[in-house]
Amino acid sequence: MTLYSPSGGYLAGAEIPLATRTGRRIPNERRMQRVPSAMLAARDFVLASHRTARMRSLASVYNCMGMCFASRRTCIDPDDLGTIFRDDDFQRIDAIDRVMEGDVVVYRNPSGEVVHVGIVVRAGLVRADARREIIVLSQWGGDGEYFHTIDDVNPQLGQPSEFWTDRHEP
Amino acid sequence: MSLETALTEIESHNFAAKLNVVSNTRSFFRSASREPVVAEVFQSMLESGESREEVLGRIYDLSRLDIDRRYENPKDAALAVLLWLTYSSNHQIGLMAADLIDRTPQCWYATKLARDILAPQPTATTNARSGEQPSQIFGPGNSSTDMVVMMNPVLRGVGTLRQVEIGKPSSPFNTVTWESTR
Repeated sequence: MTLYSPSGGYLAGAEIPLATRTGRRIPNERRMQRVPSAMLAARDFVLASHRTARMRSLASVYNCMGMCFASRRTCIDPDDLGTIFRDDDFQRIDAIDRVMEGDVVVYRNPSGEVVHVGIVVRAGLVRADARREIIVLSQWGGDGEYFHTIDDVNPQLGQPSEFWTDRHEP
Repeated sequence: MSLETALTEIESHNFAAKLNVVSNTRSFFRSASREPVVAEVFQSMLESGESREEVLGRIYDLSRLDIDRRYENPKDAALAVLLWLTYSSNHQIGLMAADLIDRTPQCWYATKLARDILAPQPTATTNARSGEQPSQIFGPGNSSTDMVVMMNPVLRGVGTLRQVEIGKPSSPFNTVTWESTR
């Protein structure tokens, strides 16, 4: 339950006021911080199994969607991604060489469900072999936030399937 | 692996770390279904009433642990998985476990599942969200006048577990696979 003051201000509750650009409510729920020993175990688990992962933060109050669309304040279900993209005027990027820092990468499982999202923080060519390298920052569920190469994620987080951007050029 | 050893593993931080890497409830339980230790416990529960009682007792113990109120309940992942297995193996015992967990402070996934079990949400025939399928239909057919009851939003997306095909290689556990119960 979320409590609001008579004037409509947020008082308390699991959900915080959050809306798309068109004003549509985004359902969300704040999760508590997990105990430090659990977060450290999570960090060890992630870093041991992902060569490129580098920890940024060990918080569990938000998930990947909350990191990208709610300033790290709450959890949003990945099922609501389509609504956010639509209302916030995101465009799908049709070629990987047009991906820029700040764009959103969407991960899907084999069934096509959105299971993870992240923010591109570096997109460029690797000089040695002219390969395009994309580095992503994403929150891994309640296990913390990591920089990683685009495809170096836990198998439960699916595969990178598309890029979206809210960039606008007049 | 003994049931005791399996339960200890399910209660560990490492196990919680593996499952908490995902971003929503549906993915959490899917992830749990791929853990061999979960399959072992479930198999044991299917075969033995004593195992079911032991797991219920473990849920009782975990639900009564003193916790640091500044943080999420550190046994959340274990409670969620054990509740799911209990409900999947026996609905009546599952309801008892759900009641215990609903009163356990500061859980996340475990509370969501417990409330899903305790408070199914009936709705009308018009689904609130597109793409959802009615989970249970009463009446002679699928006409628009039939009463449709949507129950257990979490379980609808996840399913419970049921032993259906022993040793089928493609099943998540080799011995059990997903089957919606509603």
